[in-house]
Amino acid sequence: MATLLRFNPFTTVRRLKERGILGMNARNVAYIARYNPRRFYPLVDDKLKTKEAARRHGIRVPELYGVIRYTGDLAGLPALLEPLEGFAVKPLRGSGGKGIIIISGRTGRDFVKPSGKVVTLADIRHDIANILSGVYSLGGRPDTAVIEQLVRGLPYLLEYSFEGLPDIRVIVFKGFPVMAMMRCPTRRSDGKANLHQGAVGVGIDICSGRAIRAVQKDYLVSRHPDTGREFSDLAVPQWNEILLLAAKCYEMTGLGYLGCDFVVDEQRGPMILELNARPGLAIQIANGIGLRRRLELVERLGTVELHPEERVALIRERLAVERL
Amino acid sequence: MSAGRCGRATPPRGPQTLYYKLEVTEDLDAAGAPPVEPPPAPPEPPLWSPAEAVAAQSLIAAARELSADPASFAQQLLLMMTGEAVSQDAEFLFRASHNTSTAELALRLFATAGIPARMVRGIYLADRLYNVDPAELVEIWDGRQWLAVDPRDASLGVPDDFFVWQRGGVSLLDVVGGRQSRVRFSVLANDLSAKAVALQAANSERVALVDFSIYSLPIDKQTTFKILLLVPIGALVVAVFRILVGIKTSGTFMPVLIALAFIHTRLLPGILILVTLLAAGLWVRFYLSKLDLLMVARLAAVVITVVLLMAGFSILSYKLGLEEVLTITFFPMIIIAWTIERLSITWEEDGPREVFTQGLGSLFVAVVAYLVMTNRYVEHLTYNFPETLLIVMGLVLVLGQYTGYRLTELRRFRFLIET
Repeated sequence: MATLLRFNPFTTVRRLKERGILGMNARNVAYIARYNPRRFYPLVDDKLKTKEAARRHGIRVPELYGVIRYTGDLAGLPALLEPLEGFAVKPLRGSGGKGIIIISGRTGRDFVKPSGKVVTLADIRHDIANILSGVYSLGGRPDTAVIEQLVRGLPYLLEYSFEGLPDIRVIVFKGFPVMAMMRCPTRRSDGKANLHQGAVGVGIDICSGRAIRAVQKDYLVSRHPDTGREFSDLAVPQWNEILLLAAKCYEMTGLGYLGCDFVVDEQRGPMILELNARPGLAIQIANGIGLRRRLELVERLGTVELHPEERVALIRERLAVERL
Repeated sequence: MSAGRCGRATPPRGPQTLYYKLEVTEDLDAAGAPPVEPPPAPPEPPLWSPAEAVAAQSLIAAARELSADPASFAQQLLLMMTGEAVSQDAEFLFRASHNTSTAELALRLFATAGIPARMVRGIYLADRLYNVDPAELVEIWDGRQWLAVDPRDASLGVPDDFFVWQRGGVSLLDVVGGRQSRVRFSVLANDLSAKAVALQAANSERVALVDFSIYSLPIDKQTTFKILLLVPIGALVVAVFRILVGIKTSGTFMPVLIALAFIHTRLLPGILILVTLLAAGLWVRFYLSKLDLLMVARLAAVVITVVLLMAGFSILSYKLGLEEVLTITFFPMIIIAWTIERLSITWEEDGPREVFTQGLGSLFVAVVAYLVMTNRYVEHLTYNFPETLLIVMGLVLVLGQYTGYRLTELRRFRFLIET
C-alpha cells in the first residue's frame, strides 16, 4: 500500500529517463525499425541459413552433421549416425524446445539419452519421421530435421545451472557489443534458459566478463537457487573471444540491433547458438543498467569503418572510461 | 413503404397470413386537415324498428336542445352515448343493435338527424401495440368542411397520435375465395434522427448529393454500416492500450471482434458466454494436444469443438429459458478457435500465468472497446459524420510515432530506479 501511495508516474518516467532505460516503443521505433532492414531477417530466422552464413564468416556454431528434408533421406540415417558419439536432432521450425532428441552416448549399436535411457536406431528414425511430418512445427507445415553436434557445457559454467545449459546473450549495436548477460536455468524454469519462467539473469560486465548482479523474477539473488553456487565470483571464460564473435555477427547479418546467444563448449569454446533480430529488454534488469546511453554512445562514435577487433577494443575502453 | 406479397400458381390452402409493413414518420408541420372536398349529398335516413326510432328521435331532440351547430350537436350526441352519463335511450339503442360500435351507432343517428357523416378508421401510434383492431373516428359535415369527432370522449379534431388509414365506411379488406378474414395492426416505435428523416425525404425526391451518402443505403444495410464504422474506434482503443499502457492481448485485434460480439450479446451475458467457451475449448484442446495431430487438423478439431459447444449452450439454455445465450452465435467462431489455439500454445510454452495475463488483458481491452464503441456520442459522431474516421486515422499515426515508456514498463523497470 505504501509503495502504491508513493507511486508517481511523472517522477518514475523522469527517473527512468535519467537512468537511460530503453522502453519497448523506443526499441521498436528508434532501433529495430531504423537499424534492422527487413530483408536481413530471414538470415537470423532460419537456423540453417544462420549456420551457413556463420561458417562463411569464420564464426563457430555447433557443427552440422546432416539435414533430413524428406522421408526418403531417412535411408541415409544409419550411415550418418554411425560415426557419431553424441548429437542433437532438432526440428528446424520447432518452438519451445519440443521435438528435440538429445543423444549423449552409445552402447553398442544403440544410443543413450542424457537420462540414461537406451533407444534404438528405429526409435530415432520414428521420431525424425514425426518431425518431418510437421508435428512440432508451428505452421503445421512439413518440417526439416537438423542433426548437429551436441554441445557439452563447460563444467565451470554448469555449476550455475540446473539441468540445461546456461547461455550468454550479448546485445550488439552497429557491431559494438554493448551489454551482456548469462541466463542460468533453474528448477523453477524447468531447466530452460527463459527469464520469464524463472531462470536467473546474471548481468555480465562488458569490460571484464565478471558478474555484476543476478536477478530472478525481479528479485536480486546472490546464489543459484538450486546449485547454491555464489554468483559474485563468476567470470565468463574466454570473454574476449565471445565479444569478438558477437562483433563479427554485425558483418555477417547486416543487422544494426542484434541479440547473439552463445554457449561455451567444453572443448571447442564459445559458439553461436542463435541470433535474434528483436532482442528483449530484460537484459537491463539483469544488469541494473539502462541500454539507452550505451546505444547513444555508439551512435556518437560515428560510422568510421572498423574491424571487429578494433570495435571490441574501442567499446571496452570507452565503457571503462565513461562508466555508463 | 415496403410490402410483401404471396403469389402462387395454385391457391394455397389452410390458414394464410399476409404481412404488410409501413414506415411512417411524424411531421409536426403538416396540418392534419383532410383534403378539400365538394359538399356531400344529404344522407339517406336509416331503417329503425319503431321502438328504436322513438329512442333515436328522443336522443336527437335532447342533443339539439343543447347545441347550436352541427359540431356541438355531434359532441352532445356522443356525450350522451359515452362516458358515465349514458342516457337511457342510448343504452336501449346499444342493446337493440348488438355488436355495434359507438361510431357506427353515431353514424346512424347523424343520418337520422340529416347530418352527413362518415367513418374514419386508423391506428393510434404507440410503441409495442400488437394485434389490435383499427380504431374509429366519426367525421361530420358542418356545412363547410369535415370535422372529426372522437367517439371515446366527444373531443373535436383528429388526435395527435392518430394515423388515418381510411375514410368512408368501405371494407378494409376484400377477400375472394377465402373466409374468416381479419385485419390486425401492430405498431412499433423507432427513433430516427431528424437528419435521417430529412435525408429520407430528400432521398425520395432523388436529391443528387444525398443519393451518395450512407443514408442512400437501405435501412438494414445502414445498421451493418453503423457497426462497421465502429471498428476503427475499437482499433484505436487497442492501439492505445498496447502502445501507451502495454497490456498484452492474445492476437492484436481479437479484442475488437469480441467487442463487436458484445454489442449483440450485451456485456455481462457476453463475458460469461465467452469465458465459458474459452475454458471449455481449452479443456478439449489439452486432450487434442496429447494426440500429436498435425496443426491444420488440430485447428479444424478446435473449430468443430467450438461449434458444438455453441450449439450445446444454445439448446441447453433455451430449454432453461435463458434466451440471452442464443446470441452466442454472434461470437466469431474462427476467431474463438484461433484464440483457444494460441492460448493453449502459450500455456505450454510460457505457463498458465501467462495465459491468464493475456486472457484477462484481452478481455479488459475488449470491455473498454465495447464501452467506447457503444457510447452514444461516439456512435452518433461516427454514423453521422464518417469523416471523423480521418481523425481516428491521424491519432493512430501519431501513436505509431510514440517512443515513450508504456505504463506497465514503469512497473517492470521499477527496481532499476530504486536506490
